[in-house]
This record gives sequence, C-alpha cells and structure tokens, in this order.
Amino acid sequence: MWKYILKRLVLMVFTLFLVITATFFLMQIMPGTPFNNPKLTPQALAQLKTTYGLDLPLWQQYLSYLVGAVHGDFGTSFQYQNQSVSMLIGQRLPVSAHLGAQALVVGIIAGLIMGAVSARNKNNKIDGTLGILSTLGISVPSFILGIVFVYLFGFKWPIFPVSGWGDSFSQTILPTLALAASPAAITTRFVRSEMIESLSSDYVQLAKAKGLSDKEIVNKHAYRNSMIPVLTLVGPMAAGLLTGSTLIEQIFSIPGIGQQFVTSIPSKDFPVIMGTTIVYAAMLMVMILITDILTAIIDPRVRLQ
Amino acid sequence: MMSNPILKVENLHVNFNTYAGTVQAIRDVSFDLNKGETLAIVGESGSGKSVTTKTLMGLNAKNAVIPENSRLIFKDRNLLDLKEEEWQSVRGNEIAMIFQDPMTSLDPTMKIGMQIAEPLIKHRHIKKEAALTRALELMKGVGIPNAEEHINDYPHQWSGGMRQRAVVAIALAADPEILIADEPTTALDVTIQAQILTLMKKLQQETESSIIFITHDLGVVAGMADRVAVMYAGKIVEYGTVDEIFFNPQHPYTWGLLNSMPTTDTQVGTLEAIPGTPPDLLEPPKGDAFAARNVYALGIDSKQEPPFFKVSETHFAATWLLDERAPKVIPPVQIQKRWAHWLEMQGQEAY
Amino acid sequence: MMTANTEDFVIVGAKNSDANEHISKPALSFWQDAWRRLKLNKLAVISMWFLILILAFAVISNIFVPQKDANAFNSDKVGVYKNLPPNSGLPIPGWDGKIKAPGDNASTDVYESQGVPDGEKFILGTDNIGRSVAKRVTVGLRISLLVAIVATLIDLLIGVAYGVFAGWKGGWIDNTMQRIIEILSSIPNLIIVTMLGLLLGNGILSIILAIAMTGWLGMARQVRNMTLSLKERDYVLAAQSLGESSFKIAIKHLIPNMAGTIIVQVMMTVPTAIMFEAVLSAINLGVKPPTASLGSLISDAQAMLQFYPYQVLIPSAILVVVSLAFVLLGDGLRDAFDPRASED
Repeated sequence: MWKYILKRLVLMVFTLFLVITATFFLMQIMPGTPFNNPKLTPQALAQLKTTYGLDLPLWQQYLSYLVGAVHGDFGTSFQYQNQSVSMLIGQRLPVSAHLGAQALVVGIIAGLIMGAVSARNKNNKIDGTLGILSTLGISVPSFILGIVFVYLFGFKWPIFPVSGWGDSFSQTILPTLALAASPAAITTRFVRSEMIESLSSDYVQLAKAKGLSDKEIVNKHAYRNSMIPVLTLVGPMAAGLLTGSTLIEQIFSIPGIGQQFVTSIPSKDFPVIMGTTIVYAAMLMVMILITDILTAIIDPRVRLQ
Repeated sequence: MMSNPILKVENLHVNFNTYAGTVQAIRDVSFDLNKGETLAIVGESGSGKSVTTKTLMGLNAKNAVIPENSRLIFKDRNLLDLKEEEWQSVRGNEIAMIFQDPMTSLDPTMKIGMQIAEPLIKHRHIKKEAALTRALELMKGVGIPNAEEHINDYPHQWSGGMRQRAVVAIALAADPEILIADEPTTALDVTIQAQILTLMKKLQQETESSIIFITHDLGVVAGMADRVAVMYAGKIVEYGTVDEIFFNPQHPYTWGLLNSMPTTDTQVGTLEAIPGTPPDLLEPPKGDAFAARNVYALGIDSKQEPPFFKVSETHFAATWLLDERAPKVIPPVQIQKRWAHWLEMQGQEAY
Repeated sequence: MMTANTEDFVIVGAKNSDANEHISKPALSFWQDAWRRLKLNKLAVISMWFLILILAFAVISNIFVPQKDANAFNSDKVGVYKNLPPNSGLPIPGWDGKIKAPGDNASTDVYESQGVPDGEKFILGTDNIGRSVAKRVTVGLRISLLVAIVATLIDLLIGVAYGVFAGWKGGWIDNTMQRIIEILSSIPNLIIVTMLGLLLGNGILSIILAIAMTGWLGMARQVRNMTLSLKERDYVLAAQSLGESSFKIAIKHLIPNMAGTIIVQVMMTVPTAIMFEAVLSAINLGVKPPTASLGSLISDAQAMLQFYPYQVLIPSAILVVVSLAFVLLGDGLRDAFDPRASED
C-alpha cells in the first residue's frame, strides 16, 4: 500500500515536472507578449524585461522558474503589475475550491440517490423520467445550463442572485446546481447500471436463497457493491468540473481562478496562465490519487499493486 | 428407504414467456424426496434441471408461468401457493441451496463470517455476535483451517475450494431439511470436487437432511446419490435407485449418458457421445422428445408420448421399448456389460 | 389409450442430424441482431434520423446560406435591423416580432418601431448588427459539426492505431504507452485545449487539432483493452500461425471485432467535441469573427441575455439537441451491441 502510494507520488511529481516544462517552453514560442506594444520605448522595454527576468538566457529562466515553482512561486503577473501569481491564485483558489467541492458533493449525493431509485424501478415510469433527466444532464454543458439558469431564475423569475460570491449562501445555489448537473447525471447512470448488474449477480441470488427480503438484499448487498465503484468516477468528474467552473465563474461573476484564467488568455498574461495550469494539474492529480487510495481502503476487491 | 416423503413434486409445469414465444422448460415432472436421502437429477444443459431447482426455491424469473395443477407439497402445504414473504421464511431456513460457482456466489464486499451468519440472523432471530459465534462453528464444521483467523476475511482472499466450503456453510447455517445442490462441484478442480462431495456426504449424515443433487455428470452421482432421476427436454425419462440406473438402465437416453461417461473399465475408443442436441423447448416435438436423437427410435415415438413403464417397485422408465409389442433391441456393448453385472448382483446367471 | 398399431413398433432410428439442429428462433448475424435491438429503442431511432437530417441540412445549406451571406450586414442600416426578435409572421406569442422589455408592461412591435420595411421579417430574429440569426445559426451549426466530426475522426484514427499497437505489441512497449496515456489523462483537458489553442491561433484547423489532442485518450484505452483480449482468440492465433502480417490481422480481425465499441465511443466523443468548441469560444480561443460557430454565437450574445435572450437561447438549444441526439443514439447502440441486453 505505502509502496503503491510512493510509486504514484513519484509518477505525479514526474508528470508535474513535465507539465511545468511543457508550459514553460510552450509559452516561449507563443505568439505575442504584452510587451509588443509599439508605444513602449526601447528603454522601457529593457526595463520591463529586466523586471521579469526575460533578459537572462533561456536555460537560466527555465531553471529559476522550476525552482520557483517548487516553492510555490510562479513569478509576477503581466496584467496586474507587482502582483505575484501565487498571491493572485491564493486569493481566488478558496472560492473555486468551495464552489467545486459543493458542486461535486451535491452532484454525487443526488446521483447516488437517483441511480438507486432508477435501478429499483427498472423499466417503469420513474426509471424512464430519471433516465431522460440524466441523459439531458450529460448532454447539456454546464455553461449552457448556467446561462439558462441566469435567464430563468435571474431575469424571468428573479428568485436567486445571479452574480457575485461570498455575500450570501443563495449566491452559490445557481452556480452549484449548474455545475452539479453533470456529475449527478454521470453518477446516476453509473449507479443504475452497477446496481442492475449487482441485482442480477450470483451473490444476490445466493442472498435471495438465504431468505432475505428484497429490501434487505438491496440494503446489505446491492448498495455497497454498486456505490463503492462511484469513487473511481470522482477523478474524471473533477476534471470536468475544472472545465465547467471556468465558464460558470465567468457567467456568475465569481472571483475564482477560473475567471482569472479566462481573462488572462486574451491579455496574454503568461505567468498567470502557467501558474493556473500547474495548479489545475496538481489539483486533479491529488484528487485522483486520494480517490484511488480511498477506493482501496473501502473496497475490499481492490488491492493496490 | 420408502418412508413418507418430505417433499412431493406433482405434475410440475414451468413455462417462460419470451419474445419468441413460450418456452416449456418443465413439462410434467413428478418425484418424491424422502427424509435423509440424496436424489440426483441428471441431465444435459437445457434439460430443465436448473429450472426445477429454482422452482423449488421460488426463485424463478418474473416471466415464469406455473399452471395451477402443479404442486410442490412440503410439510402439508403447496409451496407454489406461498406469498413472497412466506417463501422468505422457507428459503435458507427449511430449504437451502448450494450454488454452482463459488467465485461469484459470495458478496465481494462483505466479510465471509457475516455472510454465513446472515441466514441465522434472519431465521433464528439471534444477535449478530451470537450468529457470528455459530458461523465460526460452521466454518470449522466445513473444514476451514484456522477459522478464527479467517472469519473477517473477504471472499477474494480465499481459494475457490475454500469459498465453496463457505457456500456450503451458508446453506447449512439454519439446519435446513432439504438441501439443493446445483452442480456444486462443476466449477472446481477434480481433487477439490472430491473434497467437497465427501464433506457434503459427511454433513448430511450428521444433520439427516435430504439432498437434491443437480448435475450433468453421472460420474459424481455414483458416490453421492441414493436415487437418480434422469431428465431430458423438461421431463423425467427414467428414475430408480442408483444401482438400477447404473446397472439396469432401460431408457436409450440413459444409455447414452452412461456411454459418454468414462469408467475404469472403459476400453479405448468406446466412449461415445449422444449425437445431436436437445430439442428447442419453444416447440417441443410431438411424441418422445428424444426420438430424433435415438438410434433405437420406434415409429410410435414420433406419434405418441411413452408412459412410464414399471421395471421394479423403485424403477420406472418412459420408453416404448418396454412395451410388450416392442421388438427386443440389443443395447450398446457397454450397457450389455452393465446388465450382465446387474444380473450378477441379483445372484443370477447371465444369459 | 393404446391406439397404436403393431407397425408403430418397428425401429426407425434417429433422424438425420440436420433436423436435429433446427432452432426455432430466427438466426441473425451480429449486425442484424444489433439492428433488430436498436429498432426497438424508439429514442435512438428518432435520434438517428434526426442526425441524418441535420447532417444533410448542414451539407446542403452550403448552397442557399453561404458563409458570406450570414456574415454580411448593412452598416448604414444597423439601427433598423439590429436586435429584431424572432418573427414567424403568425400571431404566436413570443414569436411574432414583439418583445416585452424588462420593466415594461406591454410588448412593443420592434419591427414597426425600428422602421423595418413591411413584409420583411426574420424567422429567428437578428443580432446586434442586424444579421439574421437563422443564417448565423445555420453557418454556426455547420462549423460546429465540422469541427466536432473532424476532431472525432482524428481521435478515431489516433486512438485506434495507438490502442491496437500497444495492445498487440504488449510487454514494455504497451507499458510505456500506457504510462504516457496515464500522464496525459492526469492533465485536465481544459489545459491541453487552451495551450494548443493559444499556440495555434484562432483558425478552424487549430481548434480541430486542439480538441482532437484530448479526445483520443479514451478511445486508445478502450481499443487497447479489447485488443488484449481479442489477440488471445483462436481465429487471431490461427491467422498468426498462417503467417498473416500484424497489420493485416489488425485490419481483418481485430478492428472489425471491436467495431461496436468503437462506434459507441465515437458517438460519445462528438458531443464532447461540440462542447469543447463552445468552451474555446467562451475563452476567446474560438473561431475568428465574423465566422460563426454555435459556441461563438452563444458567447457573443451572452452579455445581452437579459434583453435579447433569443440570441443566446436559440444556438444553445440547437447545441443541446444535437448533443442529446448523439448521446441517445450512442446509448441505443451500446445496448444494441451488448448481447446481455437481449434478455430484456
């Protein structure tokens, strides 16, 4: 187990190193920097380059970036001068993490319930309705759902606030629901099929032969067997949330890193783009590792090699 | 042996409605099961033996239809009249089942001790701790070494043979009167098979339960069963004591089964398969269902179904060959040898 | 009871084995059987016809709605034609050229108030510089489908080639290739798409490449797993022992036998690609204006959501319906290819 975790950590560090290296050199060949402004005098340009360390040889820039990244220092933003990238990210990360975690928890819990209900009502109206809902959930991108929510509950029937963050819980409701729809749909479909498979398995037949009632079989055998594997979905769903949250933060004016990432692209604020990229990749990898370890602890079938 | 039967199956029919039509899986099956005896039901896959067991457990699929004149009499009641809740107090309690595949029959996420204790908690209404104590005894009883250390194991930590012992322990947990074993050794290695069979025999003697042993393999029947019923295409075609079936078989299908089974004195090249495949029970053939594969088929076989002809008080076979009008046929060499042996057993001279 | 004659008691023997092997269920090939099951799924069949129609429309619309037409606007008359609501010409509320501005009680006929010549109407309204939304959406759908389908085809090529190669070679090659997939899939797709989008610029081709670079991972993983199990099958071993080349075996035996899985995976990749195109547009890495895609139409009009919701909701609805059709058809195909589903 420990050996496995160590192996995974090594792979993770290696992947992060690749990500940092790739982003650094990609940024070098990216067309255009904010310093392309023709109004800048050569002196001012040289001054700027010194400030950002761009006058050093490339390998020196790379090394110092690498060393900085290890210490959580991703340089200074081009856009907001004198603001360090880590500080910008540090301010905004908690907002994004809060939104993401809330959406993931709401989505998974809703999915577990709907999937189980769907499987137990296999092929009847309840199952059909939930089936349509979950198919819609995976077909409608979260940002479109966000836009529709804003239109319906912000403008048409103004029930919830549609912008901002941190003032009230009600602000979080619409963006959370928009983001939670897809994880909820994925979980519902997954749990449904796992549970149907479980209910037709030999061990459920054996449980029936023991004289257990349907309810006991579902509670003691089917639930556990079909819900544990949901953990393996958390990684991919978290990745989906990253994508969704950038646009959702934009739509609902939420000051998270997603919104900052989006605004840094047209202004070619490379230090911010690079820093966010690395933080995103690290977050996703930690998330996947944690769920893999959790799966191994909770699911006796999985043994880490 | 012929004491009052614990279970009487009368005129059992089971049909399944499928998209292609109605499959007549069981077509008029009747048999008795006596206390303490082992009855083997033998047949190819698709002969209806598994449907018979499922019916005895009330575990048929939802599309199964059982006509009203079918009866399963157990303890003065017709099991087919039971409601689901009443079935639950029978299953695992009075009638229990040993499943075929130990690799998939145990819940992978539940500790084995708990899986054995479950029927006790359900039927004996005892606390979890007491049930686990009893589960430990059961584990020792089925020969699991160092049971104390393994009661909290999960199934994947065990080998197939050990898991099948656990499946046996689950079936025995609530002291059932009838134990149904559905091909309990098919999925196991030969050496493990023998161990499990010996274990079942020993436990049966200790608990005096009756066993219905379902198999396609006549080989395992010899050492296990008191009586044998041979099933073909949803019907019993011959039944009798184990000696009668092995040494005085009368139905050509039983001949075929015996011929396809290797024995110690089988000569090289004499092992024979039955040609063809069982009929499709969507449209069961008229007359004797085996006729199409039967080299001894009579003209009447395709017109009229044979009734059971009495061979002895305990031995009956449904084949027109036993009709007095039928010509005398010479069975395959292997069967002639068995008949000769039978006559020796009866203390008579072979002719 | 005994009505039989003595001549019935003559040995006739077994029938020939052909009669024996008779099976009452009609025999169907894998594809026929899948087709039979797919037809039972009404939603999947409707989706299939819908997608065929949409694709035909996207192709044929090149003739009557060329891109230039959809991009053109009359700069002198922006004030007349801008932001006209959808007008079907029929008195259907919300589709009659009238709009109720937030705060107003009565709805106004915008066509009249902006002085649009009589008889001229836009069935899906106009955008903020007076271009027909119907034409913009037609072109947008075309571009979005083009991007998504080409990206998916690239995914298909890379994914199948990668998966078959890794699975067939096995050993350290497979191991290394698996590690590469593992590393790539631990990087969020958004990042890969953004980086490539930044690097390659705003052309349609670069968007296609950016999307294709993320989508092949899933396909490669599935194909590799199937190759691993298929290569142990007797017919593959037989072909090998007959000296067929690995390439021929892959084309003749491996790929046809995993076609079902591949088709389902393709159906599921297309909506993801459509979605990523829209994401790229939303983060300013989409198609270059004035070219339209569903994503660019949505993100351009988003700021005006409160006042001209139709400009956002129409392309959004089309994007959703097309994605939904792909998902429904994919679901239907998955069930149709899965023999276990046949018991239902």
